[in-house]
Amino acid sequence: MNLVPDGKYEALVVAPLNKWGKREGGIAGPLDVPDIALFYATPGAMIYFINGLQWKGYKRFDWSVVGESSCADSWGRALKIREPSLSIPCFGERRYGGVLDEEMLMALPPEDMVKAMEGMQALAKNGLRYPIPQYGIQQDVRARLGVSYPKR
Amino acid sequence: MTDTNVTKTGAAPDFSRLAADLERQLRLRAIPFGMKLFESAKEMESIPKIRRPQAVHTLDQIVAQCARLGWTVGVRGEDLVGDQCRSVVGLGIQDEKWSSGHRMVGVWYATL
Repeated sequence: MNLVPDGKYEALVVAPLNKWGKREGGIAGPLDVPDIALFYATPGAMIYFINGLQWKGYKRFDWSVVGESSCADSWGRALKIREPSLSIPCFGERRYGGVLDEEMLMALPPEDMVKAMEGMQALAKNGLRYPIPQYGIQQDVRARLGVSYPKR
Repeated sequence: MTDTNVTKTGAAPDFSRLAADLERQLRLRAIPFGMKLFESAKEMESIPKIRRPQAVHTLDQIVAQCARLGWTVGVRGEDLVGDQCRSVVGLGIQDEKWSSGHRMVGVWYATL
């Protein structure tokens, strides 16, 4: 499992993302910048977010599934290695943490969330938007693919 | 979509705008949130209006209190049940016995 090494930290705070970044008199407070940002979303939303992350500086993501204790796959991994970390929430996270059946969890450094937002903007300009509208499973696909992938 | 990026200048992003844009873009049904570790519990406790648990919880319950209720919650190791929740975030004891996974045997896994 990915774990934050013990012995260094005494406490942890979770706060809604819109509570961070507040300063008084220009001085950074304890809720200045989170170590990681997180959100729960459906698989469809997550893959679109990942596409946004990959818009610039593409790289393949390889993520872990420890099984029970998925927190190690999400916040544990992201806190330890400061990389985007996607998880399928485990039984415990759903039973006790109230995670819904259709939810996945993404944890990542806040600068990567900004990067993904910019990427999703670029994708949207290309006509690739979320929610993903259905095309039709029996339609001839060439007309639309010709728009998404113009001949070069 | 509004421009949330302040990081071109190296400054921290506008988190309020970032959160709003993310929720709108992905039609989120839970609140995006941030997580931060503190070397000093005193610094954590100094956060205005910080909520401290009134019972023993799993860390994902604490996360849910933030993501579903919008609370700002601070925890120390003793607020969390068991070494499992504590150790993932470095607030517990990651000794050999815990690392063996022995507590999971017969519950989630047949053998070690």
